[in-house]
Amino acid sequence: MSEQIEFFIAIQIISIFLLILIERSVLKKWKKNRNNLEIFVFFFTIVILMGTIIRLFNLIGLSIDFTIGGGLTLYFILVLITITFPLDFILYLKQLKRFYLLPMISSLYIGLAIYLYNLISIFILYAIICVIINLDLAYKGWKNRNGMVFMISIYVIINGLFPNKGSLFVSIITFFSIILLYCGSTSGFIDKYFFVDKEEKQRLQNIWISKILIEEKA
Amino acid sequence: MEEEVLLDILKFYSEVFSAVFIPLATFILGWKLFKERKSTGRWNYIRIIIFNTFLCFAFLSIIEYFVTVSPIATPSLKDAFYQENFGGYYFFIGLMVSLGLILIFYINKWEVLYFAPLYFFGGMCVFYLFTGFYEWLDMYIKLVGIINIVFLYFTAFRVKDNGALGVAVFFSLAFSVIIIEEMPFVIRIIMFSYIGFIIFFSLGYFKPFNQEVMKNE
Repeated sequence: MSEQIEFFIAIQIISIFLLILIERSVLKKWKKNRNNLEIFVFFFTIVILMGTIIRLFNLIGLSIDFTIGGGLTLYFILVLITITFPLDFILYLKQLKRFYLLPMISSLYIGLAIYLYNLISIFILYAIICVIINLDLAYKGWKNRNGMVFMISIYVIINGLFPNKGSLFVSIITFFSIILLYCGSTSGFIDKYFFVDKEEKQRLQNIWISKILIEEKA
Repeated sequence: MEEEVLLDILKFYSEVFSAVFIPLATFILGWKLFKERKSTGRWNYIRIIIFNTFLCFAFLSIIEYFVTVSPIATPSLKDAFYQENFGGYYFFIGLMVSLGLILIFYINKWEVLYFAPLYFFGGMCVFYLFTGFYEWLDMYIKLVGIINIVFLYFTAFRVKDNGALGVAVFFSLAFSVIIIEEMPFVIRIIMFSYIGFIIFFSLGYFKPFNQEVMKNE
């Protein structure tokens, strides 16, 4: 086995580990707050996890991926779901109930195009559109200081821009995007260091200052 | 021989009547729609959907007249119109059954599904333009047509809506024409009956239920 493949395998294993950590943490959070956002992240991460497992098996030489029709592979189905999820999520955030089924039906036809005619160009066009729409989600996540939403959109943007997972460069980028997803959704690193609520911070500081002053006076 | 002559006469008159009375009935429905908008200041979305369904049928009838019995009709024009790969006839029928399904979803207030039939049908059209694939169209029309008839009757009796029942009766008559292809005499009789029904419906005489479902936004 070449060093490059070993490196690839290591990346996939760490990614799987991180994704399982995300799953665990998201489930815990969901049990506490019963928030739909956690459910969304849970299923989204499961799809990414399945894709990563397929890649790992491919690298080991035990391919579990299969092709249906012209060129529809299990991996393509998972990527389609990965980019459809955030679109539906944006619609959910905007409460546009009437458009919920639009990304799903679009994905169905894109899947059909790959199944019947192996039309990858339509898929690439769809991925580009999803990336552009995800910029809006990233902006919303940034604006609302929500690390999870921001990192999910960043993950989708990165994966939409680099769909070919065969190269080392893309594999490393994907790996970093999973680390970002982990930072955003589980560890709270992003919320703690990047999306600091300045008003809340100021309020806490003021409480501490007043406490200290009271103690000094006493 | 006499039977064929009779059939030809019936065909000619049914096409002419369709081309004249169905657009006229659609115009009446449209006029009523705008009149209601003026008096209430709000759009009645159920009326809009019904109007659009009949508008599609009006277009279909006018084009059908021109390609089948009018002086400009040619066999090639007729073949192009009745082609199963999104020829005019199948396109308008597909649009009509999609609108019928929207009406069901709208009356039942299933908001997530409101535009789903249009997305599906629109996707099919775009897919055809890109790839030439049309195999789902015939199946879609028949399947959604049957769903329409069943659910429109069901919904109409459940919410006691005249509009839904009217469209259900109309769909039953129009859809039977597609299914009974080998009985030309019966088809012509049905055509005359649905022309009569549409006029009756558009003039507002079809009111088996006293109340009317209105959904304004």
